[in-house]
Amino acid sequence: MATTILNGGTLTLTINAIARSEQITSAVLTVEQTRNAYNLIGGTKAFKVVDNNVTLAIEAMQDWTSGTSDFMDALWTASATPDTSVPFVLSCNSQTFTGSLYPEYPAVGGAGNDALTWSVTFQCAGVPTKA
Amino acid sequence: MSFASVRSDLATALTNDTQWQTFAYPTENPLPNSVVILPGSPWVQPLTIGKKSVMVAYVIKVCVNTADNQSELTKLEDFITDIIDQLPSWAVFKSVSAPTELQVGTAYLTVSDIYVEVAVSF
Repeated sequence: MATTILNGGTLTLTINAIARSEQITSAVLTVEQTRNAYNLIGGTKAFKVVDNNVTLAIEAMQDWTSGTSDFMDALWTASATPDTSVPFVLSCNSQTFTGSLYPEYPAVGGAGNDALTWSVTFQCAGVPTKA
Repeated sequence: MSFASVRSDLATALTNDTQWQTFAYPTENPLPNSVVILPGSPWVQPLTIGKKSVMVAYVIKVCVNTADNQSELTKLEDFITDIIDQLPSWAVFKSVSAPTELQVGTAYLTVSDIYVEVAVSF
């Protein structure tokens, strides 16, 4: 089997039906499973997944510039209803992962000697569907 | 902002005709009291997912005479201060090099490089 490597150029991210790849420098979708272990009589173990926790971690450049189309502004507005999830589609090399995430208020500001950035880990509503 | 327009956009933002001449490209012969926009190194680096944007480095070369060290160094300091002040919000100011001497024919210029970065989308 030939070696396959992928770079970040193969990723795209849409949040609430708006493409945001231009502002995002990193995006990582993680599904963490909670697996319980049961010690059975006879010395064997059984394992059972009882929960999934899904997160989408992103690093983005702040774009407080042009109003409601800004990524930061859209997140700020969406965070006013923090218990309402918004849809996202993360694509990686033509594989698409469709789910929903709970918005977080973005940061404002940063260091004076660099571009203003922001890192956040969004809580997702469930395991995304893969297509 | 397009890759092809960044140098001219920077030059427009840094125009200050009463103080210096501004060039968006390397001039054939560097001139005293001039500001020249040059590519930095590495020139282009990856920035965002999806190959949508790259970070592009530029050098803003500030040239003054070398006839009088005291007054020309003061002029260079004033120019650098003004240029940093005139930098647009989309240009990330990184640093300024110490002055060096640049020989042009039989003449000498005192020059400093201002390093900036600009995000460019495709």
